[in-house]
Amino acid sequence: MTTYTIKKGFDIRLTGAAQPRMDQAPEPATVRVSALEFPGLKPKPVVAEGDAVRTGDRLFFDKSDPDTALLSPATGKVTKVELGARRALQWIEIAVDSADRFAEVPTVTVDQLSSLGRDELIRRLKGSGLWPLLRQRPIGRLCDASKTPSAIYVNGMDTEPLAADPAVACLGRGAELQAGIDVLRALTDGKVYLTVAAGRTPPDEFRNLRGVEVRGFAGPHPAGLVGTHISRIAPLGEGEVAWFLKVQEAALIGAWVRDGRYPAVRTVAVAGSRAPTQQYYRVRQGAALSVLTGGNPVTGDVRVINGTVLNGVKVAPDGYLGFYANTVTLIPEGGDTRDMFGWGLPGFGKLSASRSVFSWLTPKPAYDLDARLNGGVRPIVNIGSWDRVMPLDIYPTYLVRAIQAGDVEEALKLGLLEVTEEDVALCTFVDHCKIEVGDIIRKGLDMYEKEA
Amino acid sequence: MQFLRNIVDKTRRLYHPPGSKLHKLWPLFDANETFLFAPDTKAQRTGPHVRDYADLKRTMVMVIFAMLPCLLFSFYNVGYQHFLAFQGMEPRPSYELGWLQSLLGATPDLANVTFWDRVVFGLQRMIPILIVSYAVGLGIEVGFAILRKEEVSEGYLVTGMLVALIVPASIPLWQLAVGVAFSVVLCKEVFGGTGMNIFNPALMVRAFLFFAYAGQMSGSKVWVAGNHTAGMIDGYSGATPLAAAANAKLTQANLDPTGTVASAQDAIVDATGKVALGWWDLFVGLCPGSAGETSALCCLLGALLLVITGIGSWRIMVAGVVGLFAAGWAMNAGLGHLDGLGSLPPHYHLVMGGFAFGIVFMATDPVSSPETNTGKWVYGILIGVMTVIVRAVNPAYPEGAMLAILLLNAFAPTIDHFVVASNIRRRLARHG
Repeated sequence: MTTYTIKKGFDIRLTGAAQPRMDQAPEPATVRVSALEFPGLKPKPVVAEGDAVRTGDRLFFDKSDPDTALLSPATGKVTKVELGARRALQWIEIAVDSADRFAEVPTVTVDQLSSLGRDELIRRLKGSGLWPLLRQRPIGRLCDASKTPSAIYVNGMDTEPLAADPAVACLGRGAELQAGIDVLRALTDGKVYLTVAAGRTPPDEFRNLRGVEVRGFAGPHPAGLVGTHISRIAPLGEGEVAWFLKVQEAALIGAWVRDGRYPAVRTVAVAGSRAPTQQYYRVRQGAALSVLTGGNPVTGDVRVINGTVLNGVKVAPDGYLGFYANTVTLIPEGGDTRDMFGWGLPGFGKLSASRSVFSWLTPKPAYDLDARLNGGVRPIVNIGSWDRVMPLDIYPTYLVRAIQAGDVEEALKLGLLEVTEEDVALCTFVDHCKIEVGDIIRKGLDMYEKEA
Repeated sequence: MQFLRNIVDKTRRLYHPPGSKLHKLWPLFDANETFLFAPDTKAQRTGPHVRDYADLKRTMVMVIFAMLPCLLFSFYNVGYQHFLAFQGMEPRPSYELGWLQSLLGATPDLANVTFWDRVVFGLQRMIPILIVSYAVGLGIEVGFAILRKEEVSEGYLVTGMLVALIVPASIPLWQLAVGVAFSVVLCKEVFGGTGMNIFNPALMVRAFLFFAYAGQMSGSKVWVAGNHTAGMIDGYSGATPLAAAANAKLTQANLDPTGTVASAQDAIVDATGKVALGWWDLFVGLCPGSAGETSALCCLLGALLLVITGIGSWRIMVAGVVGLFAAGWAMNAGLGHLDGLGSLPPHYHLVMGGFAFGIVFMATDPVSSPETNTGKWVYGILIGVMTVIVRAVNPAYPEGAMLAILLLNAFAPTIDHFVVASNIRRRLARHG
């Protein structure tokens, strides 16, 4: 196994890691499927309030590509079709019945994969409701099926703080994973890479896989991000695209192939210092989050995040699990806390990547961070902190300034297409000027898409 | 603490939300409030939900901590030079007390000057300089923040102290005020404020004063502070070591044909004009010069804190010293037959004048220096080289560090441009 060691980066060590224990979460009373999670997709609902739906029935599809549909993760009755500005679909809510009934979805078997043809396979994958699991680099959005990816990256590691461990999430799902990999291999003429954490023995589920190139990555976050992996394994040439997904998501595709129906169950790690229980759950996709927090929404000074603290989205405590979520993080919001003379005290016990906070003299194994910015927003004053957590060969401050100046051409030269917001999330974390670097990068990518 | 918090929260209502009585002055309130209590702003809905504990206030305050040894040393040295000069004067004039000496009733015994006499005198000069520097600079910064409806940035907290440390303690306060106003408005705010300026604002204060009021900023009569508001001990000449060494050529060739002055080092004498100062004396820094930059030892302590905390670039500091030594040796090796500073051994350049202070606190200013690591090496080396060239070749003014750093400030974007261009070429080669 080829191993790459990442030197630049930083591990945000948070308290409340999920223990490797798996339970079945209770069935939710309601589930929601949000259309807002798929930027670039123009959702058109096919159900109305009051309709009965089965698990796997179409809820909405993409107006610009009607093959691409999102399916119902539960059997029950549509209780709400929420429309936003200009009647754009926001989300669909379903009251869940006690028994699952499965709708027929387009299927494929492993034997068919070689004869089916790529276009037909993609058509069926789009109809299966699982197509959005695959995403593409550059840009980091849904895949453009008209382009054949030069490689597909299956991410078998996760270095984000408190993130679900793919090895735990895939426990006992080796056969599903193999079927998923077989599908991916039919989608590219290039290689399918499985990236794993170096320095620990991969689980049998990973080791026994056929048809993948295994690559190891060591070092601090972002060693586990696909952007880092692509930059080390096979940087993309002009016009090339790569597709990527998490190994859990590949297993979902495999489950669809093997069972012939929509896989509505997800594995989710519940973590963070404010999580009532810190462990893994099997839970219905789109479930009300309260099923993960002991039946009732958590209350008090808590921030609930669909995803990790670096790249997740804040949701209300009575919110719903996202389509992609494999981690739910609960941290303190930090409500009314204000540190007196915070700028001048040594800062023992406070997490920082900078040695100007003297907690490096008395390090703790993990820290309980809240959602405060810990400072005011300022213009860029570059003391090299972004650079110290950026393992890609780019100059992030120059890239950001080019985007701020609206100069897309210059931004492209500086490596805009090598990053997405997740690759610069650490820059935002360490920045003493509290700049939202990810927002700026996304703005640059949007400008590029508009021009192209 | 809760009591203070209550007061702040109550006062806050006058300034916030928009539409309240004093809302126009919100940046002023915010600056004071966040000085007391870190802001409670929360991370937005998307993106990183937790943040590093370091903020710009902490960064700037660390730089101030790093300058503290220089500041404390200046309190002592300004007084030390003053009394040394006074004792050396013949005939000795009558001693006049300054404001702090009168206030404390601390009449120095001129025959037996104590540590506290020196510190009281140093404070007497330095406190007004610090007050004027901060009051004028921060006043303008707050004014611009109110006009722009932005939060007040912390940049001037560092600039204000830098300014106080790089002017002669004898400077007339009105000149200092004019210099600070010029620099903050024309070199910083017109470019957009903190983070946008091209030149280091503190050095621009000094450069402005140097060219506008040369009589009070250069020559050999300004470096020892006197008691009068104008500052000088009339007619007293206390040359900086640099100026003394630069004049060595004159001494040797014209005035003293027998050559009792063997080399430039030997011309370096203390404020009495009699005792020769060696390298270690200069390193410790008890010699005439700008208020806070004479002690290379204190600069070294500051450099340690800046490098350990990662706030000041060690690359620039090391590169600056490398450049200084390279150029110093080249001069010694006889690029032409330069007397004076050209014949000075390089390690003397390190401890004389403003180089140590400049390379540690000015050249490492993150805004006006290059951002790329390669660029920092080039920039630092060139500062070292230019410092020696200006010192040795320029006949009018022996201090090269200020001009060298300002010149390289102007070239910092160009240096970065070439480094970034090579990154772009690498990218093209990699991605086709």
